Amino acid sequence: MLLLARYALMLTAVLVLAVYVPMLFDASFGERDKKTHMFYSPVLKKFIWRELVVGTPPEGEIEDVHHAQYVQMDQDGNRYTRRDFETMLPFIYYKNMDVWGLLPLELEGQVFDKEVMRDERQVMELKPRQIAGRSPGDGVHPLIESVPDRAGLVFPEERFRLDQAMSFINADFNVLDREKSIAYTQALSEEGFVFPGRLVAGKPTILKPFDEGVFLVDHAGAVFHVKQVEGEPWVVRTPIDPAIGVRHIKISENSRRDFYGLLLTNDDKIFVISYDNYELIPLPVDNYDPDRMDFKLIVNPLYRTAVYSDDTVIRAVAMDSEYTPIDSYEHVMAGATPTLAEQVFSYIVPFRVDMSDPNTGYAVLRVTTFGVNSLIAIGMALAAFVAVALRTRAKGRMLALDGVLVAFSGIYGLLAMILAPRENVCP
Amino acid sequence: MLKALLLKEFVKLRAFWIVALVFNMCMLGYVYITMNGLFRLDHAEVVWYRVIHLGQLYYSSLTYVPAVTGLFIAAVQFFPEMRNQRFRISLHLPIAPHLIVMGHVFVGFLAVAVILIIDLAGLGLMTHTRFPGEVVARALTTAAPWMLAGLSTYLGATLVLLEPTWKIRMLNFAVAAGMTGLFLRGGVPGAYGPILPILCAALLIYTPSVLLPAYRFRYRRV
Amino acid sequence: MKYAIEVNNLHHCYGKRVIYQDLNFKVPRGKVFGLLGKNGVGKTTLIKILMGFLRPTGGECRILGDNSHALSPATRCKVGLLFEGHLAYEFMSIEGVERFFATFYPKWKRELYYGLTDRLGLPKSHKIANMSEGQRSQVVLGLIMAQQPEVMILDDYTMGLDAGYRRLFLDYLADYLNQGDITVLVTSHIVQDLEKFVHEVIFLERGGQASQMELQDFLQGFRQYLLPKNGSKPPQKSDLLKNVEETSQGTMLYSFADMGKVSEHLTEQGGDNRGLCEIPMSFEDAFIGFTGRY
Repeated sequence: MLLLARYALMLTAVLVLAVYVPMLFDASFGERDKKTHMFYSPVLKKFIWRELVVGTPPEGEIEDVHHAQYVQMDQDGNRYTRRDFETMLPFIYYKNMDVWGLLPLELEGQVFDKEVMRDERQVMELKPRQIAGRSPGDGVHPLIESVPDRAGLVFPEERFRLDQAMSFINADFNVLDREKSIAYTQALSEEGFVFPGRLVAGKPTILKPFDEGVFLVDHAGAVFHVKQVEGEPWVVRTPIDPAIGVRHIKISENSRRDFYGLLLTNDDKIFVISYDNYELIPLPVDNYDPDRMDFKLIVNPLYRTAVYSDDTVIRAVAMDSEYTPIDSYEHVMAGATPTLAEQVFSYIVPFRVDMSDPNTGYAVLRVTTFGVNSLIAIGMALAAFVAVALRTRAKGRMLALDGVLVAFSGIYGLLAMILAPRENVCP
Repeated sequence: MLKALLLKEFVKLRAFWIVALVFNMCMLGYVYITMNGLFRLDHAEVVWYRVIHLGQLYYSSLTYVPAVTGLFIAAVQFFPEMRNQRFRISLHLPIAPHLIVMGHVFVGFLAVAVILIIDLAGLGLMTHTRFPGEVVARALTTAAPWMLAGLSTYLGATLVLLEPTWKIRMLNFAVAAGMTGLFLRGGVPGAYGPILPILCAALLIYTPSVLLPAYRFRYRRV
Repeated sequence: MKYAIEVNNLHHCYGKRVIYQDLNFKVPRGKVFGLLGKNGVGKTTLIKILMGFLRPTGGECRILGDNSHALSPATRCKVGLLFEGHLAYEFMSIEGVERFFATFYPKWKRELYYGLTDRLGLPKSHKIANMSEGQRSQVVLGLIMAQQPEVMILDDYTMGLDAGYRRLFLDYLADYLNQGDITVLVTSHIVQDLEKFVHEVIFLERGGQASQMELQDFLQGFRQYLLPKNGSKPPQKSDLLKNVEETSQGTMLYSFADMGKVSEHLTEQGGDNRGLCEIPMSFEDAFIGFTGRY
């Protein structure tokens, strides 16, 4: 019983320490925004990026932006001031370009003024936590009237769930709207929808220029496009091949009306869903892992750039307006290099337990070890343990068990031993 | 014998338990009023939008209620036992000390758990009157770690109160506070869903640790 | 097992303050043993050590053969323990507390409990929290009696009791002890009434000394002498003179020696022994004389 009580407390202490010690460390030594921002410059026809300076920066080549040190450079190693950097990306920083009097701009024989730049740009992101199943879902969804009888979109009075039917629940009374449910379920069935449905993809907001309804994936994997038009169901079975294995769809109602959104498959391929009869246009992204990588598609009048990155490497593919790849680049982010504090820390603690993970909306209890450094950390903790044991001439079964605990938890186990002194607890 | 011990703790706690229950009921009542207030001030579909898609927590005032409840029950159960070291009476009873301590803890734990289950049921039922089942499920998943925090503060306060020395009492306090913090880290509504079983297991491992200060109290060297 | 309680080479200190230094005593079964001493000499500490609630710096204690630090439930069942201040479950009623303790002790005799508590004239549903200390002591003592223990340890049972309750309790205790083979260790700083049933006493003194003796030997052998004021050098404490107290009538001398020896000793100390006379004293006087007033 005594052993049980003691190790129960010590294990709890190890868990608590493994969560909070790294948290305190991050709060004290963590650096903000370690990610690199990469673009394809339509002016240079090169990849260009801005990132945090790590370590000692070269003289005079960095800029202090809000007290953090950033550097701007291109793939050939040329460095840029912040203003030069922004002029290399006129479609992104078109407002600054305008202020600096650099608009309209002529590029590749075309002239772009402020209005064109504004209207022809689009950015779509897909982060791991936004993928279905990687965050707690809403469960019920709105089907917004696509042809409202007024300016601006209005929220419907119902939400629908998609299971054995498409069931609408009225918000005023919190009851099923039988009529509407039957109408939509029937309309879907007539188009060949196989219940229960698998996925609902829509953008549940009225803060968008227009509404494209929702995309539904049925039990067989077929993709359906559903809208409410003047109160009536509008259903299209898209020609998207059910065998493609849809994992996620992200819709973006954008005035360019070029594509409905992004479609991610189970084998990590990513497509844009074209307005041209739902044609899937593949984005040529190698080594893309949707569970770990932020994905971004940057559209401007001349180029499309797919940028995707995990914690270490950022990759970018530049395409022309027909999504044909032109160039690609891969860069190890400066922010991924561990700082001195991080290196020292990895020799002190054998592991850390994180309760949040930027790649999921769920809370986690994720254990991260530091490879060989973890072993060294444990070795040092064990050495300290043995030294104290020898000096105090301790012995016995409990000492051996304490040793095992330290061998697994390093300094956390050592600290936990302070909580439960061996000599003071034996009856 | 164990039954008598449990009964004794029940007799000791029942008046305080009712106080705690009334407090929890008041908080539930407040949440109910808040929830209905939302629907009075806005159209139902707008309330649904905020709650379902923006993650507004109309029941956020419940967040620390279980933690306070656990703390309260542990305090009224073990403060009087530490006054004049009255706990010695129980520890002199002719049954093993771990049975005595776990008997006490079982009753307190149950007292807290019953209130927290009532809280969850109340939250679920009131949500059910205004929202679809998906929202009920998500509200329960969101509030579940708060309830676990209540059990954690109960155990933590017990750990601190039973410990006879000040130094270790402070350390126990740090562990207890840290443990409770694991359940209250927030995140989007329903975020704790997948790790609830793991946290329950952690709480289960944590539970027997209250025996340690009891042993130290029973057999201490001063 | 000849001894109910054994204390062997007991050492204890709070920080630098020594409470006991090499304390040894044994309480044979069936004896009533008084642990006497002024406030603060460590009576309650000793009881805590005996019951395993405190770990001594050194030495060991045994109760019914069990080490104090590992008293088995079976041994605890045979030990009736009265905590200093008559600790009780205040939230329970007279009958509730009886029902509670009855389940733990196989030899429980509820009539012994109600024999004492009925005299309180309170309803059975009366809460202990609403009682005076005297009334509460009645309940606590009743519980210990009903438990039918082989060893009773009564820590300062007189605290807060008036003379009537004290008598009442002692009468009950005497009845109970008549069953035979029951060992009692009682601590007190008030010794009235004790002489009727205590067989042996141990005096605890500040600094860790202790002296153990038969009560009869103490009562018969310990003497009080008055030395009238005579202007000569005042007598000093010594091996022979256990205690010396100045009073308005003269100097009180306490010793186990007879008149002749004391008289001689005074001369040896270089003082005057004129007018020395023996004054009879009660147990209480003797106790105070032995331990000193302050």
